[in-house]
Amino acid sequence: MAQGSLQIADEEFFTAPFKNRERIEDPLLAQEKDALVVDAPRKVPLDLRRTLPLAVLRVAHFAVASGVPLEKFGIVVAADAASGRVRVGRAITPTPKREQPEEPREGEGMTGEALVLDVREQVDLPWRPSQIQVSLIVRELISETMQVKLDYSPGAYRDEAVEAQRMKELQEAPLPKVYPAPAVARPGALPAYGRVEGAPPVPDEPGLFLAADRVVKLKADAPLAVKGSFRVKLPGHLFVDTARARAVPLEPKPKALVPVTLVITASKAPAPFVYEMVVPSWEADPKSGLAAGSFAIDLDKVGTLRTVPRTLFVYAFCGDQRFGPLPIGLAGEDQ
Amino acid sequence: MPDRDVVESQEITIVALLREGQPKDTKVQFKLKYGDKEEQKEGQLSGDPHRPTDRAATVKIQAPAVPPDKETVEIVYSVVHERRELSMAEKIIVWPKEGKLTAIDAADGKTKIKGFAYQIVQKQKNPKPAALRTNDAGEGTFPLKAGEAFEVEALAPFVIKKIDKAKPRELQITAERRYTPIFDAPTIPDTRAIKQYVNQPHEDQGQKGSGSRVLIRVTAKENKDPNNKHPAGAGDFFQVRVTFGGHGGKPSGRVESDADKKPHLVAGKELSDVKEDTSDPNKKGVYLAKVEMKSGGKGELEVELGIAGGDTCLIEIGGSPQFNDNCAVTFTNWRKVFYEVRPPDMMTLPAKRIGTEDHKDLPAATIQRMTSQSADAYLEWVLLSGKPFTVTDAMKAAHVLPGSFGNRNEQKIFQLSDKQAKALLRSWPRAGGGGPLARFILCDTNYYAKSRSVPAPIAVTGRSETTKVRISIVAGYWLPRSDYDGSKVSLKWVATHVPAPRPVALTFDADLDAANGSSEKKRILKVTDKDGRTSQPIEFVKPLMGHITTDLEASEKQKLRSWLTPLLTDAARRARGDRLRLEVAGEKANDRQRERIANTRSALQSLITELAPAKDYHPGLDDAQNPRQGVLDPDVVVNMAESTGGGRMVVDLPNANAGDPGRLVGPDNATTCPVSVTLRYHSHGSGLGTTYKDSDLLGDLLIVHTSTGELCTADTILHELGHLFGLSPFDIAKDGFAPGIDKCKGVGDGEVDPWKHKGDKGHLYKEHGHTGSHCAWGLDDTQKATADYSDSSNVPRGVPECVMFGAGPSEDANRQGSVDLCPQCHHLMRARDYSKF
Repeated sequence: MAQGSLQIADEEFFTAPFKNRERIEDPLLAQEKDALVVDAPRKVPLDLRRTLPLAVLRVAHFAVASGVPLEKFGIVVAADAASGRVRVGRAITPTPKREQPEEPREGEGMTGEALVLDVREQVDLPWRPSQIQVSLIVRELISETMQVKLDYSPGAYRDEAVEAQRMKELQEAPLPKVYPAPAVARPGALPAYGRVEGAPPVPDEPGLFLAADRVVKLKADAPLAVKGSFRVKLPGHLFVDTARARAVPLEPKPKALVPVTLVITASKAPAPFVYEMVVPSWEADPKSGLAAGSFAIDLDKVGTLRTVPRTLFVYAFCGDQRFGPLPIGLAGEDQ
Repeated sequence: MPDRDVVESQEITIVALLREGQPKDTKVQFKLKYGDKEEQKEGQLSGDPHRPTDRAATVKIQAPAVPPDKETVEIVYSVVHERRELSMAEKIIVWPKEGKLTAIDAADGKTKIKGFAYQIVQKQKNPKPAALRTNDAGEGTFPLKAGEAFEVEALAPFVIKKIDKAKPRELQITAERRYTPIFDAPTIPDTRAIKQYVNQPHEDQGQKGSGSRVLIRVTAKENKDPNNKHPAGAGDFFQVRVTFGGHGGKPSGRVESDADKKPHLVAGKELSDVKEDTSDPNKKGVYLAKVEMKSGGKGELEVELGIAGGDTCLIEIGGSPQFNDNCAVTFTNWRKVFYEVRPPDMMTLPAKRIGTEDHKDLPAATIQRMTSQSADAYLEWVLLSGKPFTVTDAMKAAHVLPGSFGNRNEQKIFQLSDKQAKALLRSWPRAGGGGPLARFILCDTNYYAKSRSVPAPIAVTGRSETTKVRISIVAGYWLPRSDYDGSKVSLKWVATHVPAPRPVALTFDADLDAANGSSEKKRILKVTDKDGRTSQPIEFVKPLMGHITTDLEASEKQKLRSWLTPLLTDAARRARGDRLRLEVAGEKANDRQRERIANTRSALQSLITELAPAKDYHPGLDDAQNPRQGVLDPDVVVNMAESTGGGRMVVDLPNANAGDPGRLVGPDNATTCPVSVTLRYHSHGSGLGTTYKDSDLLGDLLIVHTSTGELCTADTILHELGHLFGLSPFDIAKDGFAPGIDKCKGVGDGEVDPWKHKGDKGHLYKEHGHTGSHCAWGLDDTQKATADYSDSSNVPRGVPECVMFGAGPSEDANRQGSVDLCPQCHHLMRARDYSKF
């Protein structure tokens, strides 16, 4: 549901985020309708607040809630288009206590869960003026993007010089390294950048797309290839200027370096793998701020993904664009 | 010819028996020769002078001195008698009667040794020689027995280094004092091994096993001899060799920034000349020194053992650099951790007597497991106190649950949350008598608030057609009183009947033919409520011109409206079963009269439609057609005997009073319908134990203990305290590894020998489905590369091999694989400081 679904004012996210809970939840429970309601304040005053609340109200059939617990499957993503950084964390931090593993729950009926998570804590968000796009992933579901502006309250002193200094340092900081490092140039080698054969067409308008085989063998020698294309708006410091081009060990020199973050969850063992890529773009224009290109990578390099038969759900975040889920079934021998 | 042994100056009597000749006036001459000297002496005759024979000639001489350069002097003689010269019947050997020696200190080769102790050994002639000593000038004389050569033997503490026998009986003896070292303190057991509890306060100078610094006092065995007039003292030294080692032959690796706390020989006391022994490049940590018997014949030295468990210190004391006096002791560093058990009085535990008091202790299997797991960490557990606490009536409501609630066989169980345990622990004084002290408050279940803030409750619904409603718990565990804020669970019931609105069931009885008082100018009809027995007359009036009208005037309709309204209230409709039976009575002889009846009926119908919209008067709906609902008091309706914390809540719907949902519940029909109950509960975690990080509660643990989980109880204790002691620290940056100990390699890092196990990756991990840092010993590299170790599809049960893994069972029957404290964790434990929590 769209931002504002909880019908509360920004300040109520800090005081009574669920004052309307029963009004929203009870009919859904009675009508036995599944719903995931995510909401966040549109603006958070940095000087007055210490948290960035994301309110989640989830109504689900028992089997869904039990099989896909938020505690295990919830992933929060906070993207800062201005810096290009995407921060990812679990929606709920596991208990620090040593617990007896819960047995699988069986039951009937409906369930309603409500929680407020602190995006700042969960993703270690810098507490400074920024425009944050927050998403909640629950397995194959992703919430609407919540736009949250972190800024000072009107009466607070704003030191523009500090912000200017930060932007200057960002602009002058060394360019990020292409990651994963490009493979030796040969057909089919991964990773590959530029115009990659088999990748989704590079969109004409801003957008981000992924593609992969829908089902792959759990045990196979072939790489777990994921291909993607993008056209995204980039902050200025990610364009390769003459002064910093020498540090980029690619020829020809790319025009921009595009951070693309993959968040990979799964139907089993959903704890996210986060893959922070830096993709070179040879189609970039600092004036328009747009950069385009495509890539192909081997997901097997991310971590041990091919553990058991399951379905991976790959999400991609880049600037103000996002894509997903891209489902990839890992089929066992008997499937 | 026999020998006669005599000593110098001894009077020698030589007798010659005369058996022939003229004894009457005969003479006997003895010709004596010893050395170069010769002399003759006339023998004195004795016997009967009248007898020719059997007289004796006797001569007495004094044994000559034995020349200094000779060992002995031999006296030979012959007897001259009446021209006969008879050879001697024996050989007389003169031995020196005394010897002399001078003792010189071997240390400088010139100082005379005052009181050099010695004895003269002549085994045959003097089997029990006296102990002798030189005089103040270092000289001594000693008597000798005739007939046997002598030897000088030094008596303790002296050892002869050299004997200069320039003259056989004037010896110059070069000797040194060499005492036999023994430990004066501490008392050394026969095993020559001492467990030193280095985390304990330094008491009794470390000589009774407590403290990391030990005062060693050595003395000379000779000093124990009360007759020894020359005990070891100032200027007398023993050799000292100290070898620092550790578990498996190697010290722990702990490095102290404070040099005073490092394992070392402490300078001072009677210790001197401390230096490292580098003679064997393969041996490290060997130090040599000397200790002087300065303090009343005793010498003291101190050794700092450090605080690392398993580190050893071999102390050898030698009278010589060969250290062959069998005077050695090895200290092995152990740490003692005291514990206090606080079980509820409803829990069964073994009794233990401490002093004169009865206490409770952990089960033997638990203690055995703790002991065996801690052995390689050189850690011992000592029960200090085990006082059960009384579960008062006031506590029962908050803590005592049916055993079935926690899936236990016991009739009742004691539930304790982290917060409750904290309050209890804070209210109790700590047992005195030792530290560090770990307090274990025991419980059967530990359902606890997972976070500091109060979360929104989880809603779950259960639907039933009977008065018993089963509500499945979707996540976590519920408690009758939330551990978050003490609130009760909330229960709301709602009828699930779906409204099927219907109009009032209106029926007309057959019209009656009745005048009702009609006249020429008006006709009167009467409408009667057949069930309520009330009536309403309606008049039709003749106009100025024409017939009496057949239509109802507005005023008459209003009369009907007023009459009908109370009949069509929700209450009236419910009471009547939403049925209305009317009768219209009036003349009906002609068409106009019948039309008046018809019009009246029609007006009634219209009014009823207007006044009574279609509704469903099902008892599960209120008058507004909303489902009937209400709240339930969980203290009244929850069936605790059939409910479980993590499975279900069973609610018995009340049915005592009208309106109770229990009277409504049933299959969906005209009078009953299923009832749905929504439970809102705070989801609690179900812990196995808790460590408190509060400074006043460090070392205090809440422990879930069951009779079927005695080994698990031990593991929980070891695991939780392990965090405190940095095996897998709560905070690596702040509470990391012991100084000098390399940070463990993480699961993403390459491991180094000797810690490689089932792959090349390290074992320390953070998060991965658990919170905080833990140990992944037992997982292979592929498993370590997964994101969530709590998921059995990534890490199957039985794979983790270390107690410090992030999860474990509470029931011994659920233990899988071999799970122990791993070698790396033991390594970390050994290096940790256990002096405090």
